[in-house]
Amino acid sequence: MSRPSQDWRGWRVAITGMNAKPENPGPGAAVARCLREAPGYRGRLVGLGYEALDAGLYQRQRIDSGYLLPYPSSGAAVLLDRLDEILAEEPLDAILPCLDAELPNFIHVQAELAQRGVRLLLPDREQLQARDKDRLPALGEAAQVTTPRVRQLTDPRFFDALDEADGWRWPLVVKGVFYDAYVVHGPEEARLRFGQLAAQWGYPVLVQPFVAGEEVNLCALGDGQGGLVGAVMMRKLALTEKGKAWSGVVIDDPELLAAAGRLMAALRWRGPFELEMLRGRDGVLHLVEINPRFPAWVYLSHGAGRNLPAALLELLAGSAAGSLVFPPPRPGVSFIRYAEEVIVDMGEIMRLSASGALTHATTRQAGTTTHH
Amino acid sequence: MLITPELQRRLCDLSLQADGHAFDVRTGRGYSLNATAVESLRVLQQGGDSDAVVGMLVCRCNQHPVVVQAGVLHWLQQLEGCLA
Repeated sequence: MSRPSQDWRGWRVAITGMNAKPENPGPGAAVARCLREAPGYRGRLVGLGYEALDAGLYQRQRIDSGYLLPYPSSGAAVLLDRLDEILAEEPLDAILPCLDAELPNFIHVQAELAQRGVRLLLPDREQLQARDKDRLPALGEAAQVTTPRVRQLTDPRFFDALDEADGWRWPLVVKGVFYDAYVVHGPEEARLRFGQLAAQWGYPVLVQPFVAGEEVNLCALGDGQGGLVGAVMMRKLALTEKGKAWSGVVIDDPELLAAAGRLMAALRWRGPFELEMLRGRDGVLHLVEINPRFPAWVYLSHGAGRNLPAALLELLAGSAAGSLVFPPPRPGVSFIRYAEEVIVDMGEIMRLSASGALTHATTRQAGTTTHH
Repeated sequence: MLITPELQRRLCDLSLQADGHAFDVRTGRGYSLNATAVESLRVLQQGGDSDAVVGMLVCRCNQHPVVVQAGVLHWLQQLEGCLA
């Protein structure tokens, strides 16, 4: 068996998170774009999706083939079986998971995948749990980062009579365990959102006090030793109905960077992450969420000269975190997201649905790509 | 008006373009400055204080120092509020 290549620029890399709903796209297509546009990258990109209509799987200019995975609820063993089927079709050098719900399974099978020559840069289970939404106040206290209190709910009657003496007052924020958050202003609205979140993501539903302010986000890599690699900071300029960034601008906020450093030192995080913070009207930075993967706006990192998915592959290839060279942050570089149709033959959709696999016949040569 | 060290730091966070657009690299907010404000901000970013701004504008605009001083004070308070 030949020695695995340490030149990440030729690697075959699988990326999940290929769904691309306009109001809440997965990060996978943006991660693929970062790698495809990374200088010197000439490898093969494989999309891994959960639905036949995950648009990223059909983006021929970036993805060479696509496969469907079993839903995370099927468990780690089923995931490994499916990955073995995919590996029998095409060997992979690395996998970049991009969705929160699938991470526990990928963490579980990381060692087995390593034995198969597939690299991942992931936190361990304890680190993943330490940044769970309901545990953020404890993490914030350890890292000296202000964090709104969190309460787990299984009963919506909480909203009928708020305990104002205990500091609960309208408006509030109700959140799902994995995704989605809504600002609610009264009991009726709160009950409605509670029901929606419970139906989609299960229990518990989380509730927090609402903090008025501007959202500022930071995306980077954790080196697993408590250090931060390649931070890109962003302020949202325009939002979708779900509060996702439709447009954003790179900023250079020393206080945000320092808070991220303290959180990484406390977590000793390994892999990509996104910090969601709010700068309140009092000027205080509040930690809202730590997402354990690249965000959907990660292509901005390439635009800012700090291609984080490429940096992740460099780390997987054995480069020391301290050896990675990043240009200074470029405040003012902005992104504006747009929705674009991918024209697909119905036969491709049916093939993917039936067989779980799709290959784009594409020849890539230096500087040119030909689709068949 | 005293330019505090914190305000001085924040003034230097403004990336100023020749067309009067100023981008706050820390917050991501953008501002439009007229020509007088552009010249005044450059004085402050180079380490000058409010008296230096007043002196520059008195010469340039041929206005009474008291008038200029009142205008500069108002503008600095506005600037401080934007950068807070």
